[in-house]
Amino acid sequence: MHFLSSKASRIRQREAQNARDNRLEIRTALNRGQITRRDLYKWGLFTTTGFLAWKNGLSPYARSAFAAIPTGTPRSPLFGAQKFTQPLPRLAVQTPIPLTRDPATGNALFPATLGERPAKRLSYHTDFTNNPADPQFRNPLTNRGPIEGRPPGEVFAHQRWDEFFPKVGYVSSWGQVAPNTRFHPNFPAQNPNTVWTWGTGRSARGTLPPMLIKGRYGEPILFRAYNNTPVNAAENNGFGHNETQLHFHNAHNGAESDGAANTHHFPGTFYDYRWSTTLARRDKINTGATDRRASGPDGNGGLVNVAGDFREIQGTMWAHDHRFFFTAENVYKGNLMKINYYSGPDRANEGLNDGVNLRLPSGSLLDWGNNDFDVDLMLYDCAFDRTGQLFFDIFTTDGFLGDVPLVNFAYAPFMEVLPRKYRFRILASTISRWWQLTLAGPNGAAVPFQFIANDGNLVVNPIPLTSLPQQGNAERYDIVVDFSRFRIGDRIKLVNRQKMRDDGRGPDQALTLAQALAGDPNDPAIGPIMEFRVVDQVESVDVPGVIHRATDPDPSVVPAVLTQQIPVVAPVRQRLFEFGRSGGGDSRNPQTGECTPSCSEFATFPWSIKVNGDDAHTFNANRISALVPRPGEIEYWTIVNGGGGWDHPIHLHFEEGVTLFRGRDGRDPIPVTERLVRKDVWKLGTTGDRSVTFQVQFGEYGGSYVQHCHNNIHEDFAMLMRLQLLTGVAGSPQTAVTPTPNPTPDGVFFTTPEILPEGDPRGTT
Amino acid sequence: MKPQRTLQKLLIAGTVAAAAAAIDGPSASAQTTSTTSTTSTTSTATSTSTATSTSAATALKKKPPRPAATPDMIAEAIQRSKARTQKFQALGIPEQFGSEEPFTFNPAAK
Repeated sequence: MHFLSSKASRIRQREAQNARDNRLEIRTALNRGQITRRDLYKWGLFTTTGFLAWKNGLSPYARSAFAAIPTGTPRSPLFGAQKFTQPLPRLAVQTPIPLTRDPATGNALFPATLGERPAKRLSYHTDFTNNPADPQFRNPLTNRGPIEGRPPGEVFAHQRWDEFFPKVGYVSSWGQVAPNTRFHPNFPAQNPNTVWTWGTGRSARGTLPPMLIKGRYGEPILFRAYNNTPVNAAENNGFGHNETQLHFHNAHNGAESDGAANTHHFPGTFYDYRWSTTLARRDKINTGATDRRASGPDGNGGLVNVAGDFREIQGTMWAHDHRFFFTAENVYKGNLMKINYYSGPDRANEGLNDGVNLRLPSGSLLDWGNNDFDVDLMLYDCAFDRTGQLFFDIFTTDGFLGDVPLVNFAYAPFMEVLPRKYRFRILASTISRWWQLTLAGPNGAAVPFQFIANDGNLVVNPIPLTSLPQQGNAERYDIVVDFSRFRIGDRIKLVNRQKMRDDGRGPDQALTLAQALAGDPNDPAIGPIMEFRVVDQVESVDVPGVIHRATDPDPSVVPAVLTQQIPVVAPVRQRLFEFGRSGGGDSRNPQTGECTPSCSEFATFPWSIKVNGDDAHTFNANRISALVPRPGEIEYWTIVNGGGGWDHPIHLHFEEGVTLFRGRDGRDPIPVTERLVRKDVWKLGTTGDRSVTFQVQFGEYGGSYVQHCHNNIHEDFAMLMRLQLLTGVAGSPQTAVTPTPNPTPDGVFFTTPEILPEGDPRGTT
Repeated sequence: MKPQRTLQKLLIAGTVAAAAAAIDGPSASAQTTSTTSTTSTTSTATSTSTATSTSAATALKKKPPRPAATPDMIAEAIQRSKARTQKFQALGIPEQFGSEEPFTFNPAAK
């Protein structure tokens, strides 16, 4: 996205606005079925490869009529809003609903007052399939298809249901945003169909800031997700698709609850996700649950031990839409939330010293999960149309960059802090923008901090830094900042130094702190995006009404050792995945022209993946690109950027890998924040060998998962591959290939997937 | 303004010649929703003609699928990536990841 400079003339701005308006008009006409892709070809507005033609008056990349430079994209109106004029909204902490087990059925019962039907091991689609005429199992909104989107039968039953029986539940709705929702008091309120986000309850409107769910090991969760978006898909204000599957990135869950097994569901229906809080390696390490470090808080100062490897404890995570081919639109539209897991070592209670608790900065008013000094920061960039409504360009296949930086969905907010240690959990919940963050003190100098976790995984030893490394889409960095070095009244800025390429394909150079502080006329998301103000007292968010003062002692610590290193061992096999750009892709069925699942009529798919040096493919949910035959086998995966022009943050679902090295045999430099660190997103750049090798193993659950580029635009067009894990417990359906579910408004039907031989090691090892 | 009118205006004002009128949707191969196996043929293409030529070329040099990677395969992938980048930088020709272009792997290269 090439944003016009703030110094551009009015005539240039008008030209850019006209181009955007024309694209918007085409988009609206396509949406309403008034024109087709074929019409666009005929009129020469689409190229043969399906891209928007570089026409003046249409494309932001066409030459301007007034200069030999791109037409550009108009700047988003800010309606007079200034940075740092609104407080940081804290995420909306959700209250868990206690569930009880029905001894007769084994179902999980919600409190009767809620009027919710029980949660079950088998889906309600199973009941619908067995009783198609029974109205209680039908979609009440459309009277078509099942009430639950989870596919029918044993394959999509919750794995290990009794073992990880849900103890708490949440009922949430994805739908139109509540009235008067705005990103800054000066901005206009967003229209109900511009933003679709999550709200608390069965029939709630969506709310911002996003939700925060606090999970803890030993307390499995049932998340009931209602789809309350409009039945008419065209009622979307130009972008977003009214079907969703919610991916819990990157928790250790069965495929039926991973939200990426091609199991999207429709308006009027719900989907029960069972987030098991399973600690990885529970079938292999610490199976007797005797290690206190593998545990969750019991709520009363004690611990509940769980089986598994304490070195695989997860903390900072999130959940977001994963409707294949429409993920970018839906995530951008607000289908995302934050989920943190708390454990014995990482309990978010700085005051409790039991020899297990690390006592990281957090607070101590609650037994666990304190947020007073443990703060979630969700980074996001957006663009507005001239009326201030969220704008998205559905024609781009390279990347989408916004020019308005938001933190927790507030424009450039400030936060009051005490002169003490704080933990920040920073999530790049952006579609294509990468970040590189530095804290600038009152004198403009970089403020040192400690890096403690990468993608929700504690590093072995805290890493002192003065700037974060590049942060790609979906990466999470946890840091501890000590504000005690400052005086009351000081202001510290969080500064983005990362320039992006205009086309959104990846990052450009990083500016110096001084340069970034001065701002970039071509990219308003560079420079300060948030401000911390050191004050002498703040009100608790954990127990409202309680006042914390600057004179209070800071009992938090950052221990020299946070966890232990997972050993690197010889692998059973190696795999190679290359991510590159091809032609139109093979996501469509050549006979019908349809994608699996359905995709936009005018979409083409330039972003592809090769497995073990074989042919390139683009995503098809009915094609397995890699198959893992058995649980517990150590594999080395090497991911390579197949071309030099684009960067890709590659995300592996379900399991984290131990990052071994970058470049062939480790000849490229690797950031200290990555070396031997567990991650689930790895950036593939355009320098050196452009490759990363990590060690990974799979276990405890099985089924259909994916690996993909987390630039959501690349992902949708369609740099994504299906991963089939035959790693379920012995005797379960998850030791066999999963039939592909194909959701329709009338119910799910199954097809038999094809398996790429280059991804299937069965019979060879 | 009605969409049709806007589109007509754009056609008149455009600096790029209109694309061919009746080009159908993008081609694809190796994809079905049944049990069909896909063990061969190139699967990415930008048009019918390139699909045909690429498919034929690839079929000739097609190797049996390898379900695991070797160090040489990884080295080759890295070398190919660099070659694509160099070509792009030298000629401005966008890389074609899916269609293999002339390339000689040098196992000894570091």
